[in-house]
Amino acid sequence: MISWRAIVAVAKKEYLDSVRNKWIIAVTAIYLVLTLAFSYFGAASSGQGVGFQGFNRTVVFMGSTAGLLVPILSLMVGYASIAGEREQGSLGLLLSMPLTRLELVLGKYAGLALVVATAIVAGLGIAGLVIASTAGAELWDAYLGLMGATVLLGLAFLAMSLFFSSLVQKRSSALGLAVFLWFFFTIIWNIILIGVVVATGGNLRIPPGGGGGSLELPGWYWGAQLFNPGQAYSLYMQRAFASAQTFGFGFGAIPDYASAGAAAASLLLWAVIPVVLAYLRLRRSDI
Amino acid sequence: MAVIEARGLTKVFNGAAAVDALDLAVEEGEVYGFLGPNGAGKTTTIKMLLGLTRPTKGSAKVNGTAVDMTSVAFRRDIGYLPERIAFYPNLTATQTLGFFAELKGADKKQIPKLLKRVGLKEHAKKRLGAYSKGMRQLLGVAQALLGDPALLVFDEPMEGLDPRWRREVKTIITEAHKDGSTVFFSSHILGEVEEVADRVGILNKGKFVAQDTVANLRSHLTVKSRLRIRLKDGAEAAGYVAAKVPGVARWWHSGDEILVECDPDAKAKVIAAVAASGKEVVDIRSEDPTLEEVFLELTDKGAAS
Repeated sequence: MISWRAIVAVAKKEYLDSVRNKWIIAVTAIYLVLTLAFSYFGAASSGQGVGFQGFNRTVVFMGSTAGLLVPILSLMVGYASIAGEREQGSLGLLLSMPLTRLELVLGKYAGLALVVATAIVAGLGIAGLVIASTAGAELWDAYLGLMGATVLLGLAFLAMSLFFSSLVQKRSSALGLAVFLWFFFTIIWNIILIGVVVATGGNLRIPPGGGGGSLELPGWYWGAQLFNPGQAYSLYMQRAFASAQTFGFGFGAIPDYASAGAAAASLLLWAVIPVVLAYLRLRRSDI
Repeated sequence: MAVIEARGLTKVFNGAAAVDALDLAVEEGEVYGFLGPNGAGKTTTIKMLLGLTRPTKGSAKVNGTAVDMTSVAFRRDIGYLPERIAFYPNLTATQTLGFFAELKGADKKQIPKLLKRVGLKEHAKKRLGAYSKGMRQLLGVAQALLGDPALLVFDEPMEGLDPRWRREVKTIITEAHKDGSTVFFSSHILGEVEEVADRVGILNKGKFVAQDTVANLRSHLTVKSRLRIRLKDGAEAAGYVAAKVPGVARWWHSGDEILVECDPDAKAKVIAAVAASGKEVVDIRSEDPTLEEVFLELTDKGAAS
């Protein structure tokens, strides 16, 4: 038996407490400025001068940079959520109330998810309105898809930060884990995968004279990307909204099973499973 | 009916028992002072009673219901003030109490009254990040009173408060007692407990060394007071004078000072006798038994009996 009233109370508290955090406002602003800046200056490099570009280019660009920036937002929002309260002692007070640990985890996740979603929707939404009013609203549906997928990416990293926050006793350890998570999923992951591709006889082709080298990626490489929410997000954007060429991934055929649906399902699982793990971890632990 | 009932409550951390087979019964309407030096296991015991920490062995009942980490039934009627309380820095006092009222299902109309009660009315709209430690402690007391719970569990409620608010917390405890609430509160300072508690349990190294009414405990305590008297000259002679006063157990002298160990009510007589003997007294210092000495005394007794 779950008390929705308790979950809503915790969610509201988390939202009110985080939304006034200047850091989060700053990340939203950065995201907004970045989207607009790309849309405005993005074509300059190809000699087309400055000016707002349509959603087409914006979706492509944001689809690849959100994978770096959104995890930072989520990790910052979530890393201290449990460890911080445990360290300062307010977790004990909270759990002395008629509130189960499941309700606590669900309430925290819901409230923080709302913070992350608000930041992403506000950042991308305001940028979207500016672009639509200057460069036209063509492909607005792809842009909405970008927003939805980006929110899901945000939730996936939020869920992970919640789980990692439940593992440690101190805010500082939780921050360390959050930094590690970001590095692992955005940087180390690809180094490892490419390394495995090469080590297992992957076909690295560098044309004579150098430059423009390409890698013939095996099918499993794309399957493996489903296990990384950041990569699943890129995969989703690529499969759902653009051809591989637009994204600059001329890296061999993507197998059918690494579809937009599979990528979306992966993101969804990433947004759920760590929350369950956080609960299991907290369920019987001493506060 | 016992509001708090614990049997063989034990918590082992890294092979050492922080709380060691504690039996405890706090009756309805009672004010129970849970006394012990820092590190005696008071907070661990409280956390086990509230289902925050799992006992290694033993069990507890609170409000007639078995304490279980995963159940909320026994938590419905408890006001808890944790040791070194912390809140959410970006919320105001009103928002914070509103949040806890929602969790407890308490009436939010109480909030202004409670804030006034703990002297935080003027700071109701301030972010708690700007609160001092004492103000947070007082907000913690207000939070515990939300919904007029039948059981108040206060962990070191007077810690970090100035004398005026210490007084006020004592009054709050006394009033809750009058309203029929049960109060279980911990402290490491004897004086804080003896004024308000009906019964006192003294914990040392995870075990009770005494559990009795305040009056009984006081009459059993044989720890002596110490009087340090500095004289212009003739300290040793003054010592012999003091030794004749009834109630004096021992005395020492060193340089121009004598140290007299005596019953608390013999102190004035000792001073009077020394002064009457014609010695010139330069300075008098009285050292009452510290809690640590009381513990030592009690542990020695426990070992002897």
